[in-house]
Amino acid sequence: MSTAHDDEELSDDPFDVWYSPAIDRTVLRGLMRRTNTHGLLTLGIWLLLCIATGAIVGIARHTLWVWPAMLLYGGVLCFAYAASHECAHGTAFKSRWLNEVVFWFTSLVFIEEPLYRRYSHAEHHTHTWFNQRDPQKPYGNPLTLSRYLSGTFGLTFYLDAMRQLIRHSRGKFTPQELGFLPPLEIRRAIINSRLMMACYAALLAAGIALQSPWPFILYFIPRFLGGCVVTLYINTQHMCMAEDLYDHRQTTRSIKCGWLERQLYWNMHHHIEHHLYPTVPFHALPKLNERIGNQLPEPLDGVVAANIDILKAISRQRTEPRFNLSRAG
Amino acid sequence: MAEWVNVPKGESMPEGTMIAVSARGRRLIVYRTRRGYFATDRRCTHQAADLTRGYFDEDVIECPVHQGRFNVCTGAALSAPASTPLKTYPVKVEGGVVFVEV
Repeated sequence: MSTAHDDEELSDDPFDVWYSPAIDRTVLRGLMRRTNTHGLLTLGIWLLLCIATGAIVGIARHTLWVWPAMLLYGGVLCFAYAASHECAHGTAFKSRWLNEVVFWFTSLVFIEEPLYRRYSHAEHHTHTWFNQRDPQKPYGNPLTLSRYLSGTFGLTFYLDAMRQLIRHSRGKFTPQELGFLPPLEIRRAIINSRLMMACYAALLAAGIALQSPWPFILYFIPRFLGGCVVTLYINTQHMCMAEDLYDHRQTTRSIKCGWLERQLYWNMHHHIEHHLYPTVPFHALPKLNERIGNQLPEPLDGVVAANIDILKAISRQRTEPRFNLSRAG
Repeated sequence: MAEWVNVPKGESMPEGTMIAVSARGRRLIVYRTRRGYFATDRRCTHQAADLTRGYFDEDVIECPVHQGRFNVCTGAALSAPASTPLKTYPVKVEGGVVFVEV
């Protein structure tokens, strides 16, 4: 009778081309453990902040203060992005149904069809920051100031998201999208897109028919106004980093964040760590950082510092188009 | 011709864990669940990722790359993008020693 061999490393793993830090497998498996508690707590904090800042909008609705109030509330509301992202990975909650319910709701708030979001994001992890291969790479080096400003503060995301939703609700997908969307999920993605369009249309129609400002001041306007807040954080993830490399340390950026930011952003400031091990849930990323942080570039001093760094890089790329902000390798 | 192969340290596996083994040229994962021992192929049927890097909970292994999920007892693909089942292998415990038929 023969004996099997321990076989910890799979030398021909097709995904083994990526840089990987040293970490004990058992420790890593422990960090992957999912819970409902952490997700419910983080989701609860976000919902409470939405209610509190939404109440300020209500109180200020007959004054000019309603505009800064909507910016504040919208900034909080658009962090639905972070909850939706964690649910796309299936790591927000241990309970599968809870994960999917929150995924649907937060994707609806953020205006991105959940199945498309899940599979395009999986493809983003497979081909992180590779030109032509990463479907979530909307810009590259050199980046222009006008592209940065329109992407961050303009209507670019809003209009692209609506166009995409309309296209998908009509059953139109690009060849690239058909490459990563499983055939069995396409019909569900079309139905989801139609349902989402119906939700937005119903909200709009209710506001007009009832001559009520609420759908506008509690969703449509804050969703647009506040979008720039979360986009400033999204910019820090990969913007002006190196491209086309199998090394998340060079294509991805981690930043430092305060307590409240960490709650709203579901710890995605540990973005290199997240890309290295996307199966580690958001709540375990600080512990993962304790284990491997010394093998990664030092995180930047926050969202403002990272965006200033990006603006400096954009300026430099005018004369050096290949310049990037990679700090490892 | 299939053969029963001894899984080293299989008997000392705690519940809820998996180990990667290689036997007779095949790369396998042996799991210990609440329902006993099970074994499957090691590569995801979607894009051949190494499932030992994935998330294993109760009877389900989830691919680390695209989150396709499989039931480790039956090999059934539970969620997209996985659609082809994982190959499973019979496992038995005799005299406290774990064997997998390969």
